[in-house]
Amino acid sequence: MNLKILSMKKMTIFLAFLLFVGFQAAAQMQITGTVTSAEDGSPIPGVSVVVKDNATIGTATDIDGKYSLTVPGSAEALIYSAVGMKTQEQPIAGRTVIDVTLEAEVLQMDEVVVTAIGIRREAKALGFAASTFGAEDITKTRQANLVEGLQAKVPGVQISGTSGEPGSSMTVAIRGHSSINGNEPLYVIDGVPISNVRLGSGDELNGGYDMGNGLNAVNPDDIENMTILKGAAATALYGSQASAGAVIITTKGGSKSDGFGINYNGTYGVSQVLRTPTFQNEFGQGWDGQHLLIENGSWGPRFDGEERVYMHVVDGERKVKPYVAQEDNYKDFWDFGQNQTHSLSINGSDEKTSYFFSYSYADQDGIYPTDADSYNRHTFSLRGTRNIEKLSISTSINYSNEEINSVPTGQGLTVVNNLMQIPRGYSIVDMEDYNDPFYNIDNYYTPYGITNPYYSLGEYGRLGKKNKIYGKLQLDYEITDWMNFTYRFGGDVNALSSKSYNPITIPAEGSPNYNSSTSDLGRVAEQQYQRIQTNHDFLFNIDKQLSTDFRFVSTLGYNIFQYNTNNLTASVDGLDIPYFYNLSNSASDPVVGQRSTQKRMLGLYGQFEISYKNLLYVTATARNDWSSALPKENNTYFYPSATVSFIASEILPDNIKDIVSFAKIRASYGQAGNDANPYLIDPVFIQSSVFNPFRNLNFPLSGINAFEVSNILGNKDLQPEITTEMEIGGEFRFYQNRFGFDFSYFDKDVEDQILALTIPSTTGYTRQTMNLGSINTKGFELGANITPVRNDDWNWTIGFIYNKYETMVEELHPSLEEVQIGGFAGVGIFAKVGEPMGVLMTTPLAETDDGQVIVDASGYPKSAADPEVIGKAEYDFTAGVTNSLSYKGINLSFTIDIRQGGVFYSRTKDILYFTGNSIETTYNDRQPFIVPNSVVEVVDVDGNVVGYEENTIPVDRAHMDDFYNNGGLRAGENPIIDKSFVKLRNLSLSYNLPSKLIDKLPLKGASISLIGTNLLLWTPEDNSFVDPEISTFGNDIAGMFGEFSGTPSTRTFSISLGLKL
Amino acid sequence: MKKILIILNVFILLLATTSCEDWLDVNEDPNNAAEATLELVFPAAQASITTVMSGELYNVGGFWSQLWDQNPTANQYNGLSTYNVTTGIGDNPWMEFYSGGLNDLQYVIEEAEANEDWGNYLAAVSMRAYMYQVLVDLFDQVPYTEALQGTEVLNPTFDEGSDVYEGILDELDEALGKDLAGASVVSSDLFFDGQINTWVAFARTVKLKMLLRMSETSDPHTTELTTLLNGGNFLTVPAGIASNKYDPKNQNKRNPWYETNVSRLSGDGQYSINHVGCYNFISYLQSKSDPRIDYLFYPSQNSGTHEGNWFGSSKSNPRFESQDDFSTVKMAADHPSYIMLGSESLLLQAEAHARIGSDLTAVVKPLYDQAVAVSFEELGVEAGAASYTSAGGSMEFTATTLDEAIEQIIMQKWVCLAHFNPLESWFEQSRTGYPNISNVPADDAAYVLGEWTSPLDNLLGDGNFPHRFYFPDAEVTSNNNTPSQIPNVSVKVWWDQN
Repeated sequence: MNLKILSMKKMTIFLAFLLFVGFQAAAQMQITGTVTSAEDGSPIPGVSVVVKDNATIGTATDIDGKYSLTVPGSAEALIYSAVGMKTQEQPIAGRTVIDVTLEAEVLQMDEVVVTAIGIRREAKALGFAASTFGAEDITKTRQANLVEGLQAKVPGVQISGTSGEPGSSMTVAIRGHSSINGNEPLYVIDGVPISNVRLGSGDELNGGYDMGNGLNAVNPDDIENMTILKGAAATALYGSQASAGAVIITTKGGSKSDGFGINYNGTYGVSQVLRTPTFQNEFGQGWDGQHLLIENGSWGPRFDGEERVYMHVVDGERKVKPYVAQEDNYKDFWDFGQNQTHSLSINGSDEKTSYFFSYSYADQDGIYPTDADSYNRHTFSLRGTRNIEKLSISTSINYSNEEINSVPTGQGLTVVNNLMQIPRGYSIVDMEDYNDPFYNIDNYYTPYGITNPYYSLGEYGRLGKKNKIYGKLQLDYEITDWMNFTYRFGGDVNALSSKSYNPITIPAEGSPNYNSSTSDLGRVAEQQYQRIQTNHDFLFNIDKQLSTDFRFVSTLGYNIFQYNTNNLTASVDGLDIPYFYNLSNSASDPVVGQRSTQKRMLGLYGQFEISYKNLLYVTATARNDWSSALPKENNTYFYPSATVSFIASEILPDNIKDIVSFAKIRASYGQAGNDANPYLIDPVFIQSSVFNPFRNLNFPLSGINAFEVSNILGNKDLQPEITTEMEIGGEFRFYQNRFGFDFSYFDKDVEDQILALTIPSTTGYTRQTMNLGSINTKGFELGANITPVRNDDWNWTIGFIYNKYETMVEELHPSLEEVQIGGFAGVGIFAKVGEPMGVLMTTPLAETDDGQVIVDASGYPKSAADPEVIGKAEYDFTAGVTNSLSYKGINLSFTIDIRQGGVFYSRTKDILYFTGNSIETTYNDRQPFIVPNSVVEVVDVDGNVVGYEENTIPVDRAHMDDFYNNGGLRAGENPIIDKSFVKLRNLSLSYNLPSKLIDKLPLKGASISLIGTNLLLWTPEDNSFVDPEISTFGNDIAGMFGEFSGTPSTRTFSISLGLKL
Repeated sequence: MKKILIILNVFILLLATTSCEDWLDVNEDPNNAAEATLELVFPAAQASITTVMSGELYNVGGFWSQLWDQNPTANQYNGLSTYNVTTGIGDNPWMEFYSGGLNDLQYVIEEAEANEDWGNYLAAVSMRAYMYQVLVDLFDQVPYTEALQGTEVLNPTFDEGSDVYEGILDELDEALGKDLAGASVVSSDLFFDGQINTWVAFARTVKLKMLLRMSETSDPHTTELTTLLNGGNFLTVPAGIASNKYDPKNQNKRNPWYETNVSRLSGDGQYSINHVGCYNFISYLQSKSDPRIDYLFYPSQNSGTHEGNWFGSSKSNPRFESQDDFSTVKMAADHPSYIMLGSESLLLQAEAHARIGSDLTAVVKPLYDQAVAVSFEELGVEAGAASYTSAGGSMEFTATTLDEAIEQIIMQKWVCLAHFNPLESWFEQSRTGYPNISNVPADDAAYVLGEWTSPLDNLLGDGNFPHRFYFPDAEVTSNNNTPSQIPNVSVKVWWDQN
């Protein structure tokens, strides 16, 4: 963890002048020099330079970082120190010019943190856990997404990618998943809440796609720093929106000391597939042990190297090849992806004005061959401040434009699904020309609902366009030197649109695939979504020194928030003109959907902090919310919080202070309320659409319209969901910060959770929004830093984080044991009473009390009759280790992300069992075997099981496919596998050009970096299939369910150049 | 300081005024209607019934009454043809009936009752009765007395099937007993275009069917059956959504089985790629020279004749390798969705008369003959039916005993229902034992045409047949009062004493 201060240089100047004005010294020897920053080579003003063992002789550097000091001849060394920088000692050794490079201090005691509502507070006053990251931490690995660089670096925060596709979404979970309702943190940029809405398909099973969430629109290079607030006490002032934590982002605004500057960063990278399944290379195409040339699996005979025909006869010709495995056919399909990002910023300032402009461009092409998976982003930002006497005006306006080409995932004619069903003897890259008569849709070897993956890649489209404008206007007025007023208006406008199309895929009449399930009449679907969000904050701030020892800091605020959304969807199936993707192109009426929502909220809040010396800080907050989405009788709710921070190091004896540099103990108790989505109160009627497998029956019908009683039952008694959280923690640093740690323990209850609960359809309804009992989470988070080596040239630091949570569903509705949160029929992720939040349930392997496997009449293991918990979706613990080693201007750092425990659903495993392509399907060399330790049921005349006897039914070659299709040795629970992994998340080697060289160039700084991300992945033996981090079910707890033939994740190698002018 | 005071005053004003509550009053759903009318809800319930009966249950019924079999070169319904079904088999019908149809009918019944609108009341009650009858026949025990009460009863208990039957029979009697003079049914009625008299006939025919369903139980309701029969007035026209209500060119507005199996799963080909004729049914029709065969199946593309597959032969032992060698199921995009037929009504009357001892020749035979004629009409068969049912005809009613009468009636019903509601044939086989179960495979010389055979790959165990569905997964996971799951689907329901 690398904490930085905000306006370090400004404070340094101030302190230096304060301390050193008026120093006089006897003149015996003059030493001059320049003090520059190790980070970027820029001069540091205000650095104190004193003679060792005689601190009365000293000076401070000027605005250009230069100093001049006359020292007595007896002086042996100079000590350079500045707030926020590591103190450095330089032996004089006769030198008259001593240039010094100072490094930023790793941990700062007097740092300032931006907390809720943009309130800046001293870090030591905080009675709760908060993690702050500076620009360098965020951009070090040069990712296009602003949170990706923080993976495995933030205590209490889990950041995961969902796939290797460019522009796909990221998941951020703070302190685990403790709400069924939603665990998405609130994102706040410069005090304004920003929508993180995701553009994706609701149908994760059939042609799902993920076009990223709202935060993808933010250029990481624009960010000055980011603070993550975790507990209820930390976010209490934000109210409902931040019940799952908050990510507070402060952007660069052109600080006053910078003068004029231009920054450029450019990165070029290549990516490749990270994890491919382990395939078997023993058996070729076929089914039931037979060599059948239309089969989409490898259940045929053993490879023998003999010449054999394959594919269909076309024009009397036939393909022939040796019957051998194509070991890398899947790996070879994937291409190298390429990406580049460029960002340019200009900033400037004078006494009264500062401004900042940036533009960035990102262009990515993923690992699918062709650019069917690509992402393109432009961002523009313009920010400025102007001080007019006591009034300060600041504005920020940001625009982004994103275009995403996404490759559909899931079952059916998707690329990944096609790839998984190609026999092991087929070369995939040979099929690249899908117009080749052997490989086209008419003659592709199988008619079983899949086709040439290159056809799907080339002809199926998912295009997204996103425009986002967000920004603020802020007025700060200084009423007195201890009182000011702020008004802030913020807005966020999102316009998303997507178009998806499936081509007309009808094999020619008379061709082998004619009238097969590999047919699609074509489809086009359009979506237009707008979300407009506005926010007003009125803040009244007091900061008053009451006496020499007591200080009072307070904020009173009023918040007005509203959003409107409008979503229009239309689709037609059955196209008339090939390749013309327009809603007019069908004899069918378009199926149209419309949904608009509006929500309004008011909040009144206050925060009151009293501090005693620098020793004790006590803070109380209170907030009352009014929400339009709750029933009028229950639409107002109040919640308080209180925190205490005790700086124990202030009262330590001096001799101990040499060891303990800093010690703080903190405690907090807080509540946060959370309301519901709009329109969950009243019963409604909806236009009738009757479920029918694969396609509903929709009204109107022959001129008759119909409305049906909605299956979602309104709830007039809905209450707000309340989170109550207790937290204790501490921060300790030793030996001048050479070693430090920060830990938190929390105990959180989320009660009256609001959820559209699945209720038995025999009630006449399928779902009702309810307040659903409570979930308890206890957690422990640790962040630690060690600096084993720190001297003039070398610096080595190790950062470590560890998170462990235990979430327990304590109560649901009195009559309910579990609710399904995600997944699909038969296997899903549930909240179940007495279990951790988010457990995967399905019918498990049927076993006797003695642990013997029960098999059916075919000798295949049976699944038990009733679903049971197979495992939990959350990890047991997560940890991260970051090593950073620097020598002069060279820095090497790498981060290892460790996630242990948990399970996920893998359709990849399921389909590779079905097709016999998985290495695991060669158990016993595919020779007949009896399931080990298995029994059959002895059944009486009424069908009751009365006992067991030894199973003697072998699984033979002809039925091995059925055995594995049935789940193999694990029956129904087979696709649920261990989620653990260890990743070498990133590695970067960077070099800052030394100031000597920079001085000769028209530059203020330059750096070059080599970066690798997701370089290595280790998974348990159980998982020879996929990267367990990929998810195709969205970003919240439902996304913890797993993957349904998702796009693989990637590793990336990049080179990056940074220039400062 | 003054400015601050002004601003603070603005705060207080903002909070103090009631406009705050007004500003927050934006929670009325613009996407869905707060109010509807009986006229709008009534057809929604009808579509729920027909879509389930003519869609998913039509498909299961066709397999399990051995009309057709899984095409050996495709896979979609392997489980249905080999009796290897998952516990989720009943999920969709169950959910669509309870939360799709019955809850809408609940609204219609309450509205109608409040307005003493006895025409719509009777129509809704009779549809409700029909749905409960199907539910009981599929699941044996179902929630009834505690069902459909929203959150009042979150875990409805399951009633015994016989109790549900008694309950809905009482409901039918009560609705039929209302003052129907001048009563009417909404014009949005998709079944009978608002004809109240047809609804009365429908209600009485549903009752007739249910009374007969109990024929083999210890309480066969003979007295009630006699009374009902003597009152006459049974359905003469088919009940359901007629062909002209569908739009063959418009997806989402077509026959549900066609939509699923021909359009979606077969790429809008001419026929379903998953279905081929079953030898047991095809050969029976051929043995009777029944002209309806050409209205039910396309002949084999390769031979031009009708050919069926050995039932449940799966992939290992099909009669032919290619779908082109088999008859395929004939289904139009605008094929009607009938949940009850005029011919079925006549056969129910015929059986009821036989059971109460009416004269087989004088009473039962004319009903049987007429049923065949009506069935020909229902299928649009051009040939006259009389030549088949008259003396010496291949379908002549020749029964001289009750048992023979029942066999002939049920065998005829198997054919009549084939294109509309074969699920009913499967129920009737469980009840009456007809068609007979063959002791030998269909390719054995001893096989009698028309008998049902155990699938060659029978995952229930050779000689076992499904007689019901599992309790739905969806209910098991959400309702604590769901009874213990049955071991397999060959368990019999309460009326199945055969």
